[in-house]
Amino acid sequence: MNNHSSRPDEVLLSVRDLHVAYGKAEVVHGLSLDVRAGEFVVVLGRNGAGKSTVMHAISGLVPKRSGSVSFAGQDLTQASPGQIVQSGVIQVLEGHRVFQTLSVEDNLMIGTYAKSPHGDRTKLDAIYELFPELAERKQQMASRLSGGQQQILAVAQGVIGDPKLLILDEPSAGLAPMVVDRILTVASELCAKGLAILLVEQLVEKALKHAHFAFLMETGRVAAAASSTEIGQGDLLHRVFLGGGEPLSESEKKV
Amino acid sequence: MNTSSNRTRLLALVLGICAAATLPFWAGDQYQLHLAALIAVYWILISGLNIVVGFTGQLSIGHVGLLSIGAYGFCILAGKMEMNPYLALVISGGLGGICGLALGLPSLRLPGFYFAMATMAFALIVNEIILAQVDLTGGGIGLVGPLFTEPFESPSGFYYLAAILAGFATWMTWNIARSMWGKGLIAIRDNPVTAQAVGVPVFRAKLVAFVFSGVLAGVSGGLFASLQSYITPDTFVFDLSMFFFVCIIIGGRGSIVGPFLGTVVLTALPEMVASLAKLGNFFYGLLLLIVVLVIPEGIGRMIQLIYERIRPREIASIPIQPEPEKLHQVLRASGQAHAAIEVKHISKHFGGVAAVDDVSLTLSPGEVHGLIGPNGSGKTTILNLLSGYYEPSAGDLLYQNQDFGKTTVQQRARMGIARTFQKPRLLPELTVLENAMVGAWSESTSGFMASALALPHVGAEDRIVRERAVELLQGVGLGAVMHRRANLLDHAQQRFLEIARGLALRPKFILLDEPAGGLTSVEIEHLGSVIRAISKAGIGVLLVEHHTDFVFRVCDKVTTLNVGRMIKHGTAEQVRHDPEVIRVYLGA
Repeated sequence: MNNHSSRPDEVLLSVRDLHVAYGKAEVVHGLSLDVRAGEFVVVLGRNGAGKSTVMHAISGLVPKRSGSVSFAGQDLTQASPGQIVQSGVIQVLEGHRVFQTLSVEDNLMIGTYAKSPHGDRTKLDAIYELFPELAERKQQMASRLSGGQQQILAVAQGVIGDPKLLILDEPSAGLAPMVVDRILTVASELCAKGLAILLVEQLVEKALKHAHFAFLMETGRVAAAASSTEIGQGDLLHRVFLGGGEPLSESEKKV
Repeated sequence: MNTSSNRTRLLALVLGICAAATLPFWAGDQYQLHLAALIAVYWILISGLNIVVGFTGQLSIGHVGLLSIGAYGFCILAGKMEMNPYLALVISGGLGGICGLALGLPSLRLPGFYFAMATMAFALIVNEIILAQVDLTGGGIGLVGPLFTEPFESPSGFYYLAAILAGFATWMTWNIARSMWGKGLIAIRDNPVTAQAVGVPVFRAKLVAFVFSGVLAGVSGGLFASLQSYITPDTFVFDLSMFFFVCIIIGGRGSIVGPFLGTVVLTALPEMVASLAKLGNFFYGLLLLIVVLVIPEGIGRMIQLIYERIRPREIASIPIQPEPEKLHQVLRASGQAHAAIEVKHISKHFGGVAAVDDVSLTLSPGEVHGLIGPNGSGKTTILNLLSGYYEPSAGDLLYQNQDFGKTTVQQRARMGIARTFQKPRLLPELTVLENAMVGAWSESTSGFMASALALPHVGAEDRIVRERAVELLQGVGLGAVMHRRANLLDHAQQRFLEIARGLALRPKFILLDEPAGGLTSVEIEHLGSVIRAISKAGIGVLLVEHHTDFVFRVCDKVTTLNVGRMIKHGTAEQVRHDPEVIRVYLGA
């Protein structure tokens, strides 16, 4: 994909000095990141670095200890998950979480409820076109789908909600390589149409190929932020993933 | 866990015992002594019910039925038939156990809500029968509850009898809670699929726990009749059953201290504060509401939370550091498979859809066999067929020339087939070490009662399981987080813990369902070294995975599926360059 050398000016999502704790133990220590309008941003980092926790905090699924989250100029720090979805931020959770006892189509309809309380059937066709494997199984119960197919359904459920910012937390888990490519391509295409994407992913190369900008996370902090080309070329990526190294110096943080 | 918390606990226990032993000397009046005896009597029932509700997760609201059976049994035997009251008490316990068996046998197969309904119906039926059998039970008039003989005749004597039995019941449930049985029962509660996978006989274990609670309910009933000195069917109102249940819920599941405190508070409060007694059920309802809203995990957990607040525990992220050499040594010691598993022309249909269609493969000892294919091509279905969650529609599964296609999940575990799950299925409230130990369920042969009485061989067995689990955890790289609760693990740690649990079963074969899903490249390297250590120890590995580079690197053989059919089988090199595999799966 095309890698912008400079980022768009308009800040869509802004997370400032975020602290998140489970009980007494703090796992996110003053993290700041932003997503600009029309941007495809990826967050990389080891398991346990706190990536999913940050995403959950943005979506209001875990309480924030301090810091602020704003979206399109609106302060969402204290907003409920429902209000956050209403404002246009939709998160696809990790681990193919769909409603097991509902059909594929009903799962998709649920994705439209935030915008239209009675469900919006008009968007179904477009979704089935993007994800033909779901079209074949419209009336099947989600529990009858394989793990990977459920993951596709979860992503589709997020897309159909027509978000302004789509958060994808490890969408590749359980997907065949070709399907991962397709999902990321779909995300890129949506992004080209103006949707902003915030992706958490372990398939580093594939993610960097599609993203414009990348944040590297290390133990609850942002270790580096730069365009995905720069991140991909730097040896910092390597160091963050190997772990165990000494903390980064200030100059390194700027990349 | 740590010694200072152990010391606090020991101190609390000693103080509690001292207070209980000297209570008749400092209790203000006879009424307070009566109340203390009542708490002890209730606790005997509730401690048993706690194993059923709090540990096994079976919501019985019919224990008042078992209580009244014990009470009437005792009155009829010791009163009408003038039997020795101690013998009558033992028989009452037996009656409670038999009736528990009769109730549990048909009803424990029912899912949660229906089981609760069945137990409620049981309690109502028992009451009706007692009312109808006038000759035996005195009908609505009731029966006199006979006293015990010396030294337990006086009120303080009775109190000691009840307190000693309550202490004994507590000791037994505590033993169960910390034994393999306790972990197995919690597995049934939190994740029945995991319980099956490690070989816990789910129905039988539920039944044993239920019968145990029946015996304690019967004994409690006998004591209750004697304490109340007169019983009628009205004594055993359904509210009492709700009371027992509420004590456990507000105490917190999976705890013993919590429900005990619940029992003390709920018995004593309405009696001591007269205005609360008038509120009756309203008071219980209100208390339940408050607890569910404020501390949903119960009083027992609250104590722990306060403790953690005083001494916060670090949950720093600790990277996985496997020790493949050590892992190999540990696994080597438990003997290897000598024969292969032959999958012959196996098919599985769901309705009209063939999820797996005529697939054959061989899983040899010490070999890593990869299974790849597009989403929905039947990979996990094959794992479910091999581990016994599905029965094949056609075809054979052979091991040492025996077809095991129709055996249960638990029998497969005993055969030595372990597995992991696509979404890790851990027991969130147990520690990492305890989760790994659950994997060795099939190995522990101690019975439920042997565990309850902490017979010497139980402890020895437990030690062996624990030591091996520790070594396995160190081997897969989780040594540093062994005592952490499993719900605090990051995704990669969960995946490695699932493997350790599988290995605790001393498997001949292990089936891994997407173990690399969500792992970083470094963690995938670690996974590779763990898998190689496993196969080097002579264990056959079946690996379902989408990280194809990884599959081709670690697998000796690879089978590719597409829409349930086998499209290519061979060495990694052969499969990787097959045009059909590239077309449907790998992509250009």
